[in-house]
Amino acid sequence: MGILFFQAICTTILLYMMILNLSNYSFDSWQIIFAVNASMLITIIVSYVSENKDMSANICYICLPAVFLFLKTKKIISSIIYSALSLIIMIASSQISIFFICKILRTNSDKIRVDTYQNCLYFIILAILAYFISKLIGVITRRIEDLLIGIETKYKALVLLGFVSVLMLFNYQIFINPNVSLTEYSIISSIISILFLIFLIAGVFSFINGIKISIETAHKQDSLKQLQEYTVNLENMYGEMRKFRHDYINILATLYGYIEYKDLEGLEKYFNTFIAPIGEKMRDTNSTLDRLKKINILELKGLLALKLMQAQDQGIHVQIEVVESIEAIDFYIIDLTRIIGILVDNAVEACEEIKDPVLKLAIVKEANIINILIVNSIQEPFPSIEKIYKEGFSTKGEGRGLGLHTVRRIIDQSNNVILNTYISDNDFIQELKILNKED
Amino acid sequence: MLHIFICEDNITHKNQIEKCIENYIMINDFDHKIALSTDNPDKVIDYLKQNRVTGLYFLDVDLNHELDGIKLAGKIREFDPRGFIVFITTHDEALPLTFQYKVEAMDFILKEEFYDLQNKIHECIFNAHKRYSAKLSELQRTFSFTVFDKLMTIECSKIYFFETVPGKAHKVHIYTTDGVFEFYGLLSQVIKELDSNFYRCHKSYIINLQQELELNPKERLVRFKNGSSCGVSSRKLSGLRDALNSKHA
Repeated sequence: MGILFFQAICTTILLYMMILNLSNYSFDSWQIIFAVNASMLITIIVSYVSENKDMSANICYICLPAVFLFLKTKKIISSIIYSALSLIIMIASSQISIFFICKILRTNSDKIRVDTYQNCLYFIILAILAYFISKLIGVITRRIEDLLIGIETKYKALVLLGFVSVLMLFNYQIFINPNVSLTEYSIISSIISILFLIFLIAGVFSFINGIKISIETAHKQDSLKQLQEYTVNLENMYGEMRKFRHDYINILATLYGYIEYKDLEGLEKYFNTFIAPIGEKMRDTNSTLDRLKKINILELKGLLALKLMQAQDQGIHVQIEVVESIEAIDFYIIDLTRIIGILVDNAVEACEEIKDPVLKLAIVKEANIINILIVNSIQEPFPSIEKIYKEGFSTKGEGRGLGLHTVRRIIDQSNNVILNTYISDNDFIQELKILNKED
Repeated sequence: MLHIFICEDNITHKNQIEKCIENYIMINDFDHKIALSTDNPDKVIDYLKQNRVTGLYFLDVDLNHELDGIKLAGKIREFDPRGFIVFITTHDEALPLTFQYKVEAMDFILKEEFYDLQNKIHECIFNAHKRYSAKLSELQRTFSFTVFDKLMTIECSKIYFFETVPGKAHKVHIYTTDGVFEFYGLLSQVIKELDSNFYRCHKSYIINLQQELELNPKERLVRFKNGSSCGVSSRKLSGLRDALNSKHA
């Protein structure tokens, strides 16, 4: 009985240690202490009461951490993944350590279970193995998580299914009856488990890469479409220009007429009624879009052209400032366009709610920093910055604020991007600063 | 006294601006004066090299010179960091955000709005005058941080709290009355640069005790008047309570 308790205690502590290694959640120390103690107690009580002690203990090992994780994070899928993963690693490393102890000390697994000295040694080796394997897999899963940002939940569920099925497939025998003669069986099964785990992770990687490639292709098609619309728009603008040139010649000819007859009064009248308004009209013409010409990143140019044309169509007054030519931005292009798309959408959405909305976009270079400013006019009462920051302009409807969350996650993952969001003189400013590392 | 500069290559336009300025100064009896009115940007630089002044600059963006208005403004900033810059430009060349970003320009005047030139110039002089005469002695405590080697400053009284990004320990968010700002740094460094008005109540938070805030010991939360809240770790709870009491005492 003593050994069973000892086992339960060590296993629980190890499991939580592994979960900490695997996930990047941060826990207060009291939370961990509480979870470990409660799990131990429940495990011991359950296995004390139950008939099949090993199996019920195992069920506790997988369920309790999952429950505690869920209570803490409220994320069901990752809670199950992390606890299942930690149990797989635990079982695999336990079998490996048993195998080594058997080889070195020339004993067998049954003796290890009873002999206190060997049992201690077993747990020490187990702890070391479990620690390093979980650390390693933690690093790998975090990379997978990075890749998974923005990928739909159904794919995440698939990954989960994979993990759980491995657990079932390769460990169910140990799960149900760990007292089968272990030496031969255990080493094979544990090697297969680990190999399979590696294959699975490799599989997940290539699966995600596949998704990424398809996203990239779709993205390329999108930018092509955007560029086509941009071209059409430019052609229209050229038409407008030609019309203006025609008018301009007419105006000059008329002016010449007045001058020739020295009709100063007529000239003044003509100037005030026909020429002065032109200055005003010029201000409102659709000529802002050609200011995107300095952006030499096609995807970005296409995206901005499309979004800003749409904004203009909605009656928003759009101003664009790109003075220096923008050749390269040190940021994964799909993430960059995604972020900028969301930020511009935010600004446009905010514009819908006010009178005479203005949307300004500027890209300003400062040494090796690229500043992208997206500015929209707002009216009092100002929305709470805290709210905008956390949720976006999600004053209406479900799902609208999700964008900014994605932006935050992408930005927090990189080490050369900063996003400031603030209000200054009736303007809401979203300021993206990107450091070009090599320039 | 503000020294007023005009740099404009269209002589008619330049004279017009000069007249506007002179009239306005005379009517209002300001002690400002036109220091230089020229079409040559080099002369502005020469003047500033010889005289240390605070200026109000009316600069045409397109000067028919190797120095355009924006580059000239950049040079002016080297000599006169506190001066007021106003660009005169056509609508097609107007870049309000860029002007502000690059040289902290105060305003710009559109050539298309020639019928409104007088009002616009008056407004610029008035604003510059107001800002110039505003008491600069009001020394505000500030917090400075660098973003990619560029120094930024925020008034301490505007700060609600600092927060580290979960899972990304080297990024700090500053929540202020104006908005949210970010930089790369460590809270342990940040707290060293702040005075006793700031308290680290959690490993991920430093709060400003000067702000109106409400401590909820049960949920271990500090709530600010803008609705945002920070966690308080159990070890810091009593320390925070003491700090708050001594502030209000």
